[in-house]
Amino acid sequence: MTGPIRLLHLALLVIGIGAAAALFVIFGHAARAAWRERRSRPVLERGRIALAAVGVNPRVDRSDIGLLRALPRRLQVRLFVELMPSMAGTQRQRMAALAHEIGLAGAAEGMCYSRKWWRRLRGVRLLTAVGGGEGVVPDLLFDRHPAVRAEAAEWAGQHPRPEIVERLIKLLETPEAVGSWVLRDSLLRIGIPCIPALAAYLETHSGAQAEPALEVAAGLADPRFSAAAVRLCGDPEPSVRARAAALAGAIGGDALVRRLETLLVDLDEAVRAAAAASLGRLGHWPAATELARMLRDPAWIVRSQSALAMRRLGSPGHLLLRRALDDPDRFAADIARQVLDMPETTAERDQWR
Amino acid sequence: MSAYEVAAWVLVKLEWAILAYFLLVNGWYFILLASAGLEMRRHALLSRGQARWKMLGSRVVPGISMLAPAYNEAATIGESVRALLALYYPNLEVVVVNDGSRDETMAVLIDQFDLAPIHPIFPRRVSSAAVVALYRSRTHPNLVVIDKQNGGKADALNAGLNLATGDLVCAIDADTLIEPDALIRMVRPFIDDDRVIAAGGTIRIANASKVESGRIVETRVPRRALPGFQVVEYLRAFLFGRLGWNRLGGNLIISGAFGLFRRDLMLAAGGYLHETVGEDMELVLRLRRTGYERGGAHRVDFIPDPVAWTEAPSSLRVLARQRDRWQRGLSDVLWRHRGLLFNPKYGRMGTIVYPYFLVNELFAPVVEAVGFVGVILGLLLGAINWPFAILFFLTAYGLGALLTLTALVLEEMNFHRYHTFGDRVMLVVWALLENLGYRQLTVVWRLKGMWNYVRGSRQWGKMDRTGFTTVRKTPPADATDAGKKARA
Repeated sequence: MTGPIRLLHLALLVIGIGAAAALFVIFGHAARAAWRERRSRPVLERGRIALAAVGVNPRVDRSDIGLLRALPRRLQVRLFVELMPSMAGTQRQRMAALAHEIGLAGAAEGMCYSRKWWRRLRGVRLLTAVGGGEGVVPDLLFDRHPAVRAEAAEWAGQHPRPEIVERLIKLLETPEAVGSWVLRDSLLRIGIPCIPALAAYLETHSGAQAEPALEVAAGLADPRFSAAAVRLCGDPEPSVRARAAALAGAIGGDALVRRLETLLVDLDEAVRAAAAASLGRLGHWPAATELARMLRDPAWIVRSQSALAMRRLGSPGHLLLRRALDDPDRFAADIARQVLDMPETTAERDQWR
Repeated sequence: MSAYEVAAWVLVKLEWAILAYFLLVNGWYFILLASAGLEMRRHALLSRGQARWKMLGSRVVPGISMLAPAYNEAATIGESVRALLALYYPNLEVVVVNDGSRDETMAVLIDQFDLAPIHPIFPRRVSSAAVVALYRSRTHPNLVVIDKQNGGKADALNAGLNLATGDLVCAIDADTLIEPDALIRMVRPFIDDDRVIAAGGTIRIANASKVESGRIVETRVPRRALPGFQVVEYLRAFLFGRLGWNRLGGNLIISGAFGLFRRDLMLAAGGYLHETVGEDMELVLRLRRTGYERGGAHRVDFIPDPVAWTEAPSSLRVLARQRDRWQRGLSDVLWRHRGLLFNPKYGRMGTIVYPYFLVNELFAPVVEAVGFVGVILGLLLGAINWPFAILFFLTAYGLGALLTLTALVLEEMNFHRYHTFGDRVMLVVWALLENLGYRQLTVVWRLKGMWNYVRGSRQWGKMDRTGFTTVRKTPPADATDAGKKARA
């Protein structure tokens, strides 16, 4: 038994050392964090006041800059990341210039060249917060790490230069490269400057490649997307037709309304529902009778969206909804009842978007 | 060979088998721990400095429907629903399901949220007990309330699922307190990766913490032993148990108190299963299994920082019922999905994760009990050497305590949720004492759960709660009257 007992003694020794190390980390880390926080609190407070003064006052006090420059890098980062999101316009520009002056933006740019992905990620995040990075971040849209690519796309959302917009739109062909949400969100944040490139993209793309672009276009609701919307309402993919119908409802116009009316008899229920919702959104009351007919559609989503669309049409829709209460089709009568019961705000929210 | 010698021989061999099992289990724990450490580091690097607030202003985030089943929650439902409606998420729908409460839950809801009854029709995609009435709020457009006949939690969640419209569904318990930014953190894996079908967050124990308006305002470690043990138990389970699985083949469990799922897949899978008390684990297994079988998405992520707080049982009786139910649920789910065992068709879920749950989770109490009884008999019969037994016990105890202390290290290094020195001392105290009595009690309860499962018990068990450390408001009399009138 001496062998196993020796082994157990050794195991106990290792466990004891491990437990002591764990206790040291738990209490040591807590003590260190508390000490650092206590020590940096007055410095941070002074830095906060100096930074706010630079943001508000066009005349920069050199002593404020000196104070900020003297702060340790981690505190500089903390201050800028804390204050920059609530700044806009000239205040933000001033603070971005200050970040440059004290070397914070330069340090962040340096991090973007690091071989470690997490340092590149931190670099882009810092540049997104404090501004700058035009020379280095666009290349990171094609970085080998997905998180860095996604962060670069978020940065691009704040820098609507034509070549950056072009790159973002090019990524719509493979949205999984940066994450579809980041891409769509960045393009929507860019807004008007991305419309010409996005319209051109939609002219030439269809199917799955057009879907995220259609969602962005519907959010921007610009008439320059009309031609693409008309074309994509005839796309073979039902999900694309549904998105195109939503875009048509966001833009409006005779051609698109006519196209929407044809989609009311589409074979796919999601497309019919989107077309009905879009006609309601446009307030196209001549479609009220057709929408009333759709209350008898076999698909719940179509009946529901048609009824909500009728409610949005105002008096003609309300009248037909009330008539539908006596419809021999029980499903039509039921959905009309439910939508008429709904509080105003609720009906607005449930509309297809 | 005499009977005594045979018994001694069996006991010695049994002890060697137990020792082998001990090494296997603890080896696995240390692999999980290493994996959790790596995963935590990756998570910290990915989330450090992330501007989550940007998501609040986004028009393209996936919609989330919170499903909150409620049964006899009149005292707290108003506060709970208001806390849900105030979560930081731009595209949120709250679906409250009153599961046939016998108290004034429905009346309180009607009164406090100005509910308007609407014609109760909806697409019945998954089965549930009959819906009595359907309400929409005049003041909160994103609030839906379903009043249905009692059918249990799974049934209530299915009813909510029928009405939910979000891309993602978040299932919670009515008494769960969710941190305001938890959804923004939890949705991240879904928007970063299309292959994610479900995600779970950390559940922490709120006993002794201070609650105001449905939010934790001061975190404290309970000074009472039973909730205290559960605090360290939960930290260990979530911070290295579940996190570790992210790298080793994915999780099989997402807590029923706080989990996010893709709605389309839930509906395609038929929603929650009524016939089991482990409905949350069963759903995760079914979703993953279907994903593997159809060649579709099957990834389940655990994210350590979205936090939900829950009240842990503070009496032995209630805790025993809870552990009994958990063990019955585990037994039932593993039996239902026994086809996964060592089946390479299901990848690492079949070859690593399922066998681990079978050996380390399901049969652990059996082996522990046999080992314990065997050691006592062996010592009485003189078949086992005393110094060896004592050293073995100390090693087992030390390993258990070391694992829990390491979970506390992960907590301290990454989340730092307990601020005072006294709280940290208490965490260490509970971690050191947990294996002396409490763990053995859980073994007994789990064995009882297995026995009850074999006998066919499907009871949920009554879960009495004492309530959080907060001011509880009773519904005013006029409120309940108004509610009754509205229902009439």
